[in-house]
Amino acid sequence: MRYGVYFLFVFLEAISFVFVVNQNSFQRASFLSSSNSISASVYAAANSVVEYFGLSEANRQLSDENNQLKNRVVRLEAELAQVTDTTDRRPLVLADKEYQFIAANVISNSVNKLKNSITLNKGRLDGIEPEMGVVNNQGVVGIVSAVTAHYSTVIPILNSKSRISCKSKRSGDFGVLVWNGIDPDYVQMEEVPRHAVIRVGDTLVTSGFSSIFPEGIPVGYITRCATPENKSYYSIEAKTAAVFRTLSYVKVVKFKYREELREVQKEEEQ
Amino acid sequence: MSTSLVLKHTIRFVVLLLLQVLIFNNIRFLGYVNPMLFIWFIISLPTGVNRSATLLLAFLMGTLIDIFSNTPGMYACATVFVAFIRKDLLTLFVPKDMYADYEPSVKVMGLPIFLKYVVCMVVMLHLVLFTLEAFSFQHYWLVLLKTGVNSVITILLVLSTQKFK
Repeated sequence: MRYGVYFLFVFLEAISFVFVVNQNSFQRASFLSSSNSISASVYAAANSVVEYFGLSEANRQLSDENNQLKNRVVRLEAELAQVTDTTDRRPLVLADKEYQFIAANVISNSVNKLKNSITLNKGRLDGIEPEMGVVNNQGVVGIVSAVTAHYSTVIPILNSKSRISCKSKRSGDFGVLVWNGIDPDYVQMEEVPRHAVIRVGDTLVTSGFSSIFPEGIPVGYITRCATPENKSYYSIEAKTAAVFRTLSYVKVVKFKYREELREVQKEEEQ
Repeated sequence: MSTSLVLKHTIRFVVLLLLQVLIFNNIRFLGYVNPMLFIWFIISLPTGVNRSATLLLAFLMGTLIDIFSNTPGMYACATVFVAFIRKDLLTLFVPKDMYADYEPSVKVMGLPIFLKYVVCMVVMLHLVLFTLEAFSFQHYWLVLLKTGVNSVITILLVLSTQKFK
């Protein structure tokens, strides 16, 4: 077999190339992603060591969040007391809990690629499913792409394929959040027409159009905005709300009526 | 190949794989620093190893890194490519009278020849890898920048594994 090695070369390259081209569909096949049990347990073991180095920062963030939540409890209790004190004793209608949060640990995370990814230590058995949103106490992190029983893979906003609908908190103008692959601290917002009112310093929040994220979760803070000549869109750059270099604790957003909303949207399309 | 040599390269395979996925793929400096030291395994594979076996080992290494970093096919494609051109590079740079089975290193080949060989291997690897990562010509300046910066770091890392005396 004189040419056997050439056939082998072409064969191996063809296989890899098919994988590269079909990236999305193979990423769904979770055995080929970092959420498969072997690679995920290697990451989990490595993370159990690395975690200690970030512990003080993680502690500070958690206690900050704890503080905020405590303040909220006090405020809400006060409001509740006011409401129940009124002469009208109708049962209080509580806001529907549309969104639930599942806490998870980041066991692997990259920021130095064009298509970054994150692995979490919670999976299908904890109620996580593909296309759920992921946030932390600072802001939006990304969207779940693949799950196995105990682990899941997330496509963060720092991925050239990520497109998340967002809006300016102040003016309500909509756009699409993307990443140009260069600086992991800054993301870009596209498709904002020139007539929109956008200023440096504005907060970008999720639009709430899809069932992935609740409305109003911070995505970034605008640091630069310009209207290039002969273009009908703004060119906007924003600092990410979540700090990706030191990501350790996140929450997966579970929307209660996801299936229902999806069915309605499907019917609409037909 | 003797058993101890097989063992040495197997350990090197595992250690380089772990170093790559746990450390080098997680460097958070500048946002695009990502050296590829794992290629030292292919660079230093003894020349006595069958060419098909080299390709299969490269495919295995690439696929394992792909699985860890959620980049299906990307590392596999690039690693198999450099494993394929390795033989031609060696015949190009190494004098004909050198003995048949040796482990490419500074000690055996001398610094100038080894350096030429490593630079070609490393630059080709990064170029193919980052082109596949971008998968379009839209990001081409970024691809060239990443190739340049990371090639230099990888070459320095490979040289740091060599004994010069």
